[in-house]
Amino acid sequence: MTDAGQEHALAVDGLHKEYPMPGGGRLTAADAVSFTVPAGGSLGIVGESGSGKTTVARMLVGLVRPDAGAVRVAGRLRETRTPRGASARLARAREIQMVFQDPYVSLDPRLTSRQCLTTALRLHGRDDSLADGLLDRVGLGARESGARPHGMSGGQRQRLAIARALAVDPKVLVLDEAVAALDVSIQAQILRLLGEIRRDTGVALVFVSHDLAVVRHITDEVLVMRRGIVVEQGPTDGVLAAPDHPYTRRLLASVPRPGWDPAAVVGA
Amino acid sequence: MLLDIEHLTVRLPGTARPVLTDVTLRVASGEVVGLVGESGSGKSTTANAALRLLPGDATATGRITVDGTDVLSLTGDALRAHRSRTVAMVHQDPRSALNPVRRVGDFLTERLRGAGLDQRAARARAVELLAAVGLSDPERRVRQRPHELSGGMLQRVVIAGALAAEPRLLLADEATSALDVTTQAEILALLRSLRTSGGDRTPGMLFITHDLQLAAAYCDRVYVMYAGRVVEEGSADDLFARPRHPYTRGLLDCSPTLDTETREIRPIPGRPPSLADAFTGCEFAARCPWAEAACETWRPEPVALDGGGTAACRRLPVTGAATATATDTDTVTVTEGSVR
Repeated sequence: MTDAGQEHALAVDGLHKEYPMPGGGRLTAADAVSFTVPAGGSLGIVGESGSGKTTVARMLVGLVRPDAGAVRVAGRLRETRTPRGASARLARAREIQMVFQDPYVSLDPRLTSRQCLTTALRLHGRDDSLADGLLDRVGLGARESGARPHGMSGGQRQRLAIARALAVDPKVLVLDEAVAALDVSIQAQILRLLGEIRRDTGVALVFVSHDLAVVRHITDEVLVMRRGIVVEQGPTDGVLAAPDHPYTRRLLASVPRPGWDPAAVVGA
Repeated sequence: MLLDIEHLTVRLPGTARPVLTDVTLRVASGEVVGLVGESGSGKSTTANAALRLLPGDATATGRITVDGTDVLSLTGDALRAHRSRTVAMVHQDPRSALNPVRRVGDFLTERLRGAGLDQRAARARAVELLAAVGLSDPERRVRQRPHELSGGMLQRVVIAGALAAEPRLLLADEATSALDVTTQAEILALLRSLRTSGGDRTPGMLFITHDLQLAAAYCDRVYVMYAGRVVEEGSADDLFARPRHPYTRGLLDCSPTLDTETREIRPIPGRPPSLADAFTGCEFAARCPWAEAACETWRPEPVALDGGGTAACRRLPVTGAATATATDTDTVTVTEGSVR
């Protein structure tokens, strides 16, 4: 695994997380999760509520400490503990960045878009002037540059959240249900933007979503999780076209399409 | 006709355009009618209007009748009976519909007592209703509190509550949007089974969703709304296979699907309009690939389509004939096979 880790933007090996349950006993939120993503690659993690997909995303970034397992970015092992010292912490932040579902909550309400970006740039010793390029990159104009989060639409806020994540030039971008709250016409714009960013910057995407159709459009490989366990993983096209695991088949059958009968899904 | 909305226009003070503009919509007994659109398109306002639940300072013109009753003129006891008996609404979030400190059974018995049952009969009926919506161990469920049940189970409880009064019309406002897909399929199967149950008194359903794929798969007929206006109406199959209004087409083109054939999605440029945007002509013109200068001043009106349904577009001859190549420069192609 160590050798393979050298070639990948992100290499995850045997991530495991358990939580104690209120009445005793333990809940396995993630068990033996392993995958790799090449630079410029895109991996989807799909599952329903309680599948552990968000736990995995949070372990990648360091918001949840795994009980076991290793995360490597460009071959370098990420310590499970936050390192001491500002420069080490900043270097760690430049490895993986995260975009959340609701940018209204994750953005500072007092900062304009431009200030949001310059704050991140300065912290990492980069030049303020890069902010304009970032705003342009995600399709935000002069008006949005001076606007605060409450003055922008959901799609514009998500564009800003993506720009802020890109400000530190990360190797890996983790998106947790990042398009789930958007109107479908705006969702399509953001998906296109992510495709462009991936192509132009070579950042690796980890795309956590409950929406199989979205995952199909944005990822090369996919992990299907259920109750903390990866039930199936492989190339997205293959897994979604010819699923092996009964749960993947049930998930796919549940997606509405012309001629679809919900009763048949329930009966299956 | 069970629900009959005619030329409904709703205005709110302080907004640049009406919340609803000339909305005409019908739901027949036993029919599942979809209402589709993005945020702010007026879907929920339309449903709320059927309950006369409009903001106090709103002015409404037009006519709404449910089972022959003129809804806009209802007051007092008649309005209360309309809201509690004739029409039932299921919202997106069941947790906000249920009192967290009361038992699940109380939610049902309160309504049943209101309908004239005594406590013992109401209790027995509550258990029956919970069993009817597919909850296991209903005797125990009536004694549980909302936090002890999952989202899907709670939505079943809310649907049981909606059915308690044996309503004529069921309004489902994004009722399955917050649920997992497998749970959504179960709830949809349950809702559909209701309409095969009642003979002449079979309820009709207005099914509101932002998901065009879901509406096309689930409903008999579908209305598509944009900026407070119905832009297209037709049978679900037609709408899906032959969308005529550029907005309906745009929605279909930008929705990701599981089809193995197409791997590209075409975003609709721009953003959905807010209530602060005023329009002199067609609301969709600014985002429309087929728009001409005249569209900016053309007042949209529904045009009957051959094969049934209507669409409100002055470029219909073009949009009907054209393939969706007008936005080809605007496509996204996901690169394939860079995995290994």
